[in-house]
Parts: sequence; C-alpha cells; structure tokens
Amino acid sequence: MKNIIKVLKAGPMLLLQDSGRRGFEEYGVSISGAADTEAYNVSNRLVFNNENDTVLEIFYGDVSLKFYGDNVIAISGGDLGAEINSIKCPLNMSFFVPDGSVLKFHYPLNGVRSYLAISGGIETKKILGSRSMHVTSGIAGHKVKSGDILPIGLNNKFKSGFTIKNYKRDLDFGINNIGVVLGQQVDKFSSEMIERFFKDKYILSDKSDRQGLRLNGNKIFTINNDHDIISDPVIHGSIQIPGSGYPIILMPDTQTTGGYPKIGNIGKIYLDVLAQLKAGDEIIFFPISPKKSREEYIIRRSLIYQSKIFRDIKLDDYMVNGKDIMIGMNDNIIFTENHAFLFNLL
Amino acid sequence: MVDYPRILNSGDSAISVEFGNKIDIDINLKVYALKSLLESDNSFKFLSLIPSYCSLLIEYDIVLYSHSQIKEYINNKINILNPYKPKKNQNQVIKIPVVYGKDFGPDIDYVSSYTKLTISDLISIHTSKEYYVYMIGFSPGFPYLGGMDKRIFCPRLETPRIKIHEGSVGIAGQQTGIYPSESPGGWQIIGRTPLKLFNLNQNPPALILPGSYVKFYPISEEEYFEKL
Repeated sequence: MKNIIKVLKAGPMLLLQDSGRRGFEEYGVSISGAADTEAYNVSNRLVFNNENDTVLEIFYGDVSLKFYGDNVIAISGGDLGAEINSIKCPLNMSFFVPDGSVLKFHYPLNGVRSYLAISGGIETKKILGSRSMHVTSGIAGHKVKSGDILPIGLNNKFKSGFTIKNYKRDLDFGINNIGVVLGQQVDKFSSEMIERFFKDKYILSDKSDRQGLRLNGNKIFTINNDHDIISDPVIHGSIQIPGSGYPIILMPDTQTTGGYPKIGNIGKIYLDVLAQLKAGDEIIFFPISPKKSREEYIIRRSLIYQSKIFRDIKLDDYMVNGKDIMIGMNDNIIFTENHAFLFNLL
Repeated sequence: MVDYPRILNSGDSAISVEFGNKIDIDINLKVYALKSLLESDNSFKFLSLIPSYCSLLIEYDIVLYSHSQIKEYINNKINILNPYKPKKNQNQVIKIPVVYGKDFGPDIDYVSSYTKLTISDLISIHTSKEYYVYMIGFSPGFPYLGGMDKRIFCPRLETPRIKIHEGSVGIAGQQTGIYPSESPGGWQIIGRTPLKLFNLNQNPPALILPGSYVKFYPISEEEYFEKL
C-alpha cells in the first residue's frame, strides 16, 4: 500500500510546490514553484528525491499532518516550530517518521515558509506538467485544504539521518541587503530616482503574497511621471514601480506580463531571502551586475549540491543493541544503521 | 532616439528583446518570429520564452549560460530574422458578450467622466471594433487587445485592486482586455463577460489566441446569468 498524508489542519496557506510550470507562459500561465528554491532543493536532496519532486510549502504554520505508513522526511527553510508526536523536529536533516505520527507546524520562530520533503515526493495529478499550485487561478488547486489526502511516491533510497556538510541557513534577520540587477525600464528613471531607490530601507507591507511583495518607503517616479507602459514580460523577481511610487517585487505566482515600468530584477539568491520575510521586515537594495549575481548563485548552489551529504553521528556508549545495528546519539536523535529517530529526553 | 531591436537586462538569468515601443502589428509579428526561431533552434535550452506586444523575454539556465554569452547569441539571431507568418485559422473573430456598468463595471463612471463621454457612447464605441489579439498575459488566458478607439483611452488605477472579479472587462491606457479569473489588477473595469476564457481541459488552454480578433457585444444582467 502507498504511503499517504492526511491533512488534519491546513492553516492559512499550505501549498504543493515543485520547480514550477513552464511552457505555457504564452497562454498567460504563471510559472509558480517554491518561493524559497534553496529550502526546496535542500529538503528534496536530504531525502534523496529528484530535484523537481513535489514538496509542501507551509506558510506561517497552524498545520497538522498525519502520516500513514513509515516515512522519511526533511524540513528546510523557515523555522515554524515543527514537532512530530510533540517532539521538536530538526531543520535541514532527514529523519524517520513512524506510521501514525502527527507532524505539527506551530507558528513562525524564524522566517515564514517551511518546506517539507517526503521521501518519494508527493504524487498528486500533474496539471500542465507540474503539481505547483497557483493560488489565484487555482491551477493544480488554490491551496491544500483540511481533510485532503496526499499520496506519497516510492523512493529506492529510503534512509534517514542525513545532513549537508557545512550547510547553514542564516535566517536571523536584521536589515536584509538585497541585490538588484538594473534593467528593463531603468532608462525611464533619473539617476536621482535610482539613487533614492538604493539609499534608504524599505519595509514589507502586509499586503504581500506569493504574487507580489509590496513595499513601503521612498516613493520612486519615472522621469515624465508616466507609470503606464505597453505591457511587457515579467518574471519572479521583477521590480515594478506603479503610479503610487511604491515598489512591488513579483513573486513566483506572478503574472507573465505587466504594465508598470520595471526598474530592475532581484538577484537570484536574494529571492530566497525575500520568501522568508514577514510584514514589517526591512530591506535595503544594492546594485549588482548580472555577472556578479550569477557568481554568487553558483557558489551558493554548489554548497547545496556539491557538499557531501552525511550522517552527523556522535558515537556513544549509551546503548548497544545487537551487532548488526549501529547506534549513536546526537541531541534527541537516535541513529541506527539506516535511520534517525527522534525521541523525548526524559 | 532609441534604436530597435535592443536587448534589455531582465535580471541575472534573463534578457528581453524589444522590437519597438508602440502597439503595432508589424512589431508584434517580429516578437513571434524570434520566439518561433528560438523554439526551432536547439543550440541553447531556454527555460522560458515570454512574448508581449513589443518584447520577447528569454529566461535561461543561470548555471549553464552567462549573460554575455546569451546576449551575443541573440544579437546574431535578431539579424537573420524573417517575418512571422501567423498560423491558419487564427483570423477568426471571437464574439464576447458583456454586461456593462453597475457592479459589473465599477469604474465605468470614472472612465465616462475621464473621456467626457456618456456611458452609452462609451459602450457603443467599445463594442464597435474588432480588436487584434497581440498576446495572452498577466493571468491565464488574458488577451491583450489592440486597436481601441482613441476616444476611450483611460489610464490605469494608481494603486492596483487586490481583487478583480472573473470575466471583468477593462481599459488601461490604450488597451482593452478581459480578466479570465479572479486576480489583483490595475485596469479600469467597465463590464463583465460570462464566458470562460481559460480551460485546463483544452489544448491550448486559452479560448482566445494571439493573431485572432475579438468583438464585444452588450447584454443585459439577465442574459449574463443565463450564459454563466
């Protein structure tokens, strides 16, 4: 029998996401996909999934999931205080989840989006080649609802207890420095306006979602004060400046074209930072060249994909349980030959 | 003066090729010419090709290709571009029923006062033309229509609405269009159609395709609910 997850409580925004839906942009179909691609990639890698397998994107928490069948999972990205059977879950490490377990995501402790990869991936029906949910149009569903059943695929490498060597995700935000590649309609803005754009901090508004992040701060206007352009293509990371003067950063659910002038685009690695911000968080933009931005991305990506994936076991003499099972401990995790189990310290 | 075509940065892993800066069928056909050329050429594997009135956005794999490499390649392609020939069956006129005003078109009073036209003149001008479909964008199946009468040009809302009803018909600058699904947006909404513009069970999923024509006709509130 196939493993499944039953959604006991879906919270405000629980989504299925993969690497996105491409090839239908000319029909106005958004690409979608995980908002924090690094966390998405890390979670999938830790459970030996394919790079574009489907995970759960949990926004803000208040989620409760029941597992049927033995599973291996990994959580990455924001810390939403995840607990399994009331035991705190580690981030960025795969572990074993026995049949009947209940996994809860409470509320944001750090960041706002957690990614839950399950060994084998979630295997709902693909729509136009992808399982990514597009919230506004409802392609592949508007969101996951309480009571939904999510089927889990099979994976030949069913092992747990793995972390990525030297991998660390810093989500302890102060002011976030966000790289911007100037472009598309930058020639509509005076150098004074561009300077103003980079000068002071912006604050994330509560009217932000997976379609766009709205910012409060310095108002930016075009030279002739005209903020209507002949609609042209936009992508995840495009920075639109509407007539109000307040920038809007387009997120993965972005439309494919837009009619506001775009001052530039967010550098790829900073998109993941933005995906973890909440209303009131502060950012400051700095200019970056496409070349430098690409270099930063390649360095960050090699940390995820080229670093060794290993089991960080501190061997201990607490227990010996037969000669065929190696047992070690690390905090509240017990390692056997193939798996890592969470337990409550008494 | 700006020389076209020109290549614009769209971040660290995409560029846009802009063929002009006006709503013009000849410029639009160049966009589709480049798109179809790149689709039939396998030397680079592109992630996304997004066409619009005057531009084609080309997104590529940031690890495999550098910005300058793609720029050089595209520059060479632009120079050997042949005019695009639209596929047959695309010149049909799709008739779209619309109920104008009231809750269906909350901005009709504003557009009427901005254009200094009565609401009934506004409707008869809006329904008089066959609009060329330049592109589908913004949301699934959303057609961008060209050829709107100058007398009903009207700027977008200063601050976009968070929610616009499915089927809403709007005006933005020199353009008119239809929202196929509920979404945020900045267009002035003058009416609503009961037709479904986007269907996932059809291939292609959009009812209205680039290269075809659209004509609106007014219906009553009762007819709207009958056709829904």
